[in-house]
This record gives sequence, C-alpha cells and structure tokens, in this order.
Amino acid sequence: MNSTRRHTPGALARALASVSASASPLPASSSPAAPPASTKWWKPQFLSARGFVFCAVLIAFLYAIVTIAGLREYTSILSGTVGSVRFGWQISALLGFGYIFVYLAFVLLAPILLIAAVLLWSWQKLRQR
Amino acid sequence: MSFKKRLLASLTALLGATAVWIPCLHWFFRQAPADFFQASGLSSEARQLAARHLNLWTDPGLKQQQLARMRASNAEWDFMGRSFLVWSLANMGLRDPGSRAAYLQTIDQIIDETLRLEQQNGMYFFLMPYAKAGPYVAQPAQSLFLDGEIALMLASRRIVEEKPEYKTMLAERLKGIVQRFDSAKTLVLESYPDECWMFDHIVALDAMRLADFLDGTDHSALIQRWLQVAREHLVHRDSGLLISSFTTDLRPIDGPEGSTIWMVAHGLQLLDPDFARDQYDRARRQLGRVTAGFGYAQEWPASWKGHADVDSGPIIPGFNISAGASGMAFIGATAFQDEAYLSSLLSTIRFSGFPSRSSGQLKFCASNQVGDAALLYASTLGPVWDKVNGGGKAGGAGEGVTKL
Repeated sequence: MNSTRRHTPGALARALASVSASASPLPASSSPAAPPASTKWWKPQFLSARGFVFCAVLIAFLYAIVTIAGLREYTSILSGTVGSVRFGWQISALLGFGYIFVYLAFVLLAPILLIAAVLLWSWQKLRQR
Repeated sequence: MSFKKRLLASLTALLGATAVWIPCLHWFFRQAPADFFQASGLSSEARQLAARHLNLWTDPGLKQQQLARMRASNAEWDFMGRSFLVWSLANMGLRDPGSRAAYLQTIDQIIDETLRLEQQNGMYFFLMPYAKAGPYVAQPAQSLFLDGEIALMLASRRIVEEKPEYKTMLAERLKGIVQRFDSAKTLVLESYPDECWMFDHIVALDAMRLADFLDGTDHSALIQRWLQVAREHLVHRDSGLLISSFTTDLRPIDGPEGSTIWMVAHGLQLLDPDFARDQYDRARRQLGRVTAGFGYAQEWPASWKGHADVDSGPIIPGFNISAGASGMAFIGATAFQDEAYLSSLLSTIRFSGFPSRSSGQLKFCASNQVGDAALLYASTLGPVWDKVNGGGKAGGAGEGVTKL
C-alpha cells in the first residue's frame, strides 16, 4: 500500500504545485517526446523550476533537522578536534562532515536552485509572449 | 521540448544562478571589523568570546570536557589554549579596568594550575608524544615551547598588575633560557629533540622584552644577536619569510608556514618593528588570499611544498586553505591594522566557523578552545605591546592602544 498517494497536499504543496504549473518551461505538450509533466508535488519533473524549488525546500528541511539534532558541535573535526570523546573519531567525523555537507547544500546549492527556478520561470514567461 | 533542450535550459539557468549567487554570498556573512576589534575598550565579540572562556575556567566539568577533546588530538593545544587566554586577559585587563580584578583572578588560576601540572607531570605533559622519541641535543632536556610561553604569561600578568611571587618565577624562568642560549653554539634552543621553532623563540624574546620593561634588566644584546642569526640563517630565500622550524645546526625542517608566521610577525613588533612589518607584508602577499569576498590563508607560499600536519589543520584542496593558518591570520590582520583583510577573514569565519551564541557567550564550533583563545587574543591584542613599546610606567593601565 502506498500511503503517500492518499496524502492531502498542504499549503506548501499547493504553493509548489502552483509554481510548477506556471513556472515549468517544459509543458508536456511542447514535444511528443517529452514525458508528461507530473502534477504531484512530491514527484516534481526532473530539471524543472518546480523540481528546483522542491530540492531547495528538501535541503532546507534537512538542514533544519541536522541543526536541531545538534550536529553543528561536531564540525570541530575541521580543526582536527574530536566532536565527542565518548563517540570517538569515526562517528564524530561522520556526524561533522554530514552536517557540513548539508550546511553547504543549504547556503550554496539551495539559493542557486531557487534563483535557477526564477530564471527558468522568467524564460518560460518570455517564451509565452 | 526535447530532453536535450530541457537539459540545456536547466543547466544554463543553474550556471546563471551560480554566477549570481557566489559573488553575492559573502554579503550575507559580512561583519563590521569593529564588532571584532576595537581601538579602545572591548568589542562585543571579544566580550562574548571571553565570557565563554571565563565560564570554562569556573565550570570544572566543562573545562575537563573541552581539554579532553583537545588532548585527544594534541596535548600542546591544552597548553597553548592557556597561553593565548592569559595573554588575552592581560590585554583585556588594560582595556577594561572595571573588570580587571576578575581577569587577574582567572589569569592567576590558569598560571598556577599550569605550573602545578608542569611540576607534577614534567614538561612532557604538554608536549606531543614524539618529544620522547629521542634525546634532546642540549642536556638537561628543556623545551623552549613551555619556558617561553610560561615566561610571557607571567610577564603579561605583571604588566597589568605586579605580583611579587611571579616576579621571582619570571626571573628564574628567563635566567634558565638565557643560560641555555649562552651555551648554544648557534643561538637556537629546542622545543622537541633537535627541533627548534620560530614561534617559540619569538615568544621567549618577547618575554625578555617585557621583563626588561618591568624589572630594568637588559636582554637587548641577546635579542639583537638572535635577530641577526634569524636574518642570516632562518629566512627562506625565495619568499623572504622566516621559516617555522629548524634543527640545532640551523637546517630547515619546515619552511615558512601560515600557522606560524602571523604570530611571529606580531611578536616581532616588540623586537624589531621594521622587520615585523616586512614579514607581515610578505605573508599577506604570499599567504593571504581573498576569493569572492572570503579571506583565508594558505599554509605555504608557492615557493615551498609542505604537507598538512597538526598545525596547518586540514588543507582544503584547490584553494589550499589552511584552517590553522587562517585562524592565526586574524592575529596578523589586527596587529598590522589590515582592515580589509580582517573584514574578509570575518566573513569566512561566519561562513565556515559555525559560530554558536548562547547566554552572551560565543564559540566557534569548527574551532576548539585553543582556536577560540587565539581569536580572542586577535580581538584584544595591543595594550600590552603598546605599553612596553610606548615606555609607559609599569604596573598601571596603558593608554595607547593599537588603532585599526
């Protein structure tokens, strides 16, 4: 059973769907070869404005989780210092680099994805005119 | 639209977005240099960093936890964290007379505990294990690393306020160093077996300079002789920078290093201001970098090939960013009033130092106690040096503070 299919999209989902509907430069009808654009917010079309926004939101969500989990403390691995003597080097390094990876995605990749979504959306609007 | 066109459109958008975002990123991490370093008084970040350290020294459990984390990597950091904190608190005592008593209390606590640990466990307690790997060339074995920093701790404390028992301790510590200098053919002393460090020599000579100011002694001839040896034998020819470590017969071990040179240049300000400025300018040109608004430092100049070690910290490939060198670059930037470089370094530490603030305390999660203590020193340095260079009266607060 796929419980996700019975999920009712919330406000965020509706916003994503709305962005997608107007933002995607890739309407399914524009090319017979193109796959049909997904209308389900949790299945954004690959390489679309909606897909970019979806990824950015996912990254922000991951960043919130690792921050709330307190993994920021383990970034001391950057100075060659173990994050927790109790956990030891390997686990501390894993947690530290995991946090850094998600953080970099949040500050570098997520804004780029959002800007790219705006660029794609703008391009689509221009094409429509 | 075909997949190829879709791919092309998306990649173009991503490239365009990257071209927009990367140059703008540093604006989101910008910080006014005055938040970090002020000509007089204490900056907000200096207060917050200090609050964190003062809390460590009043909460034994927290202190133990932090020291254990550092000692798991390097016992030296335990010791250097104490040194940088004492030197910082001495400067803070001159900057903030209202809190001087509290700073002095912590300084004395740190010095007394450090001396007790040294006496109980011997010098190896604060050294890395390889100190026992072979015999010291000069016997009996002594480490200038410990003696120099302890001497500068004692002298800095006395610059703020005289403490008679520390006067005796400082005199004895310096007497031992001078005797060893007199016995050394090449005028260099070991920190580890047949391993001498530029950092440790400069710190020891600074302690002598402070002692001369405090007690009317005169080590100027020794200092000048040593600087002459350094200029003739310890400068890397291609870069013109002082090398970091060398053997007792003056053969280089490590070349010029960012993790050493910034503090060395600052230490030289007390010994030979022109030489200090020359070293800073060379380090800034050859090691200091600013990319997309973010400042950092490399561990080695282009003319020297080295390998990452406990001092450099991890090296980020491509840019050759050294965590250790970049942290120490704060000391150089504030000591030499390089506001533009300091501003870019501040952007970097806010971006990649993972600052954490709570209850008026600041720490950088990517750093450790010694790294934060070095940053605290960078944000407070000036008054002790100014007092000695300015020739003010010993035992009172200094007026002249380095301007940024």
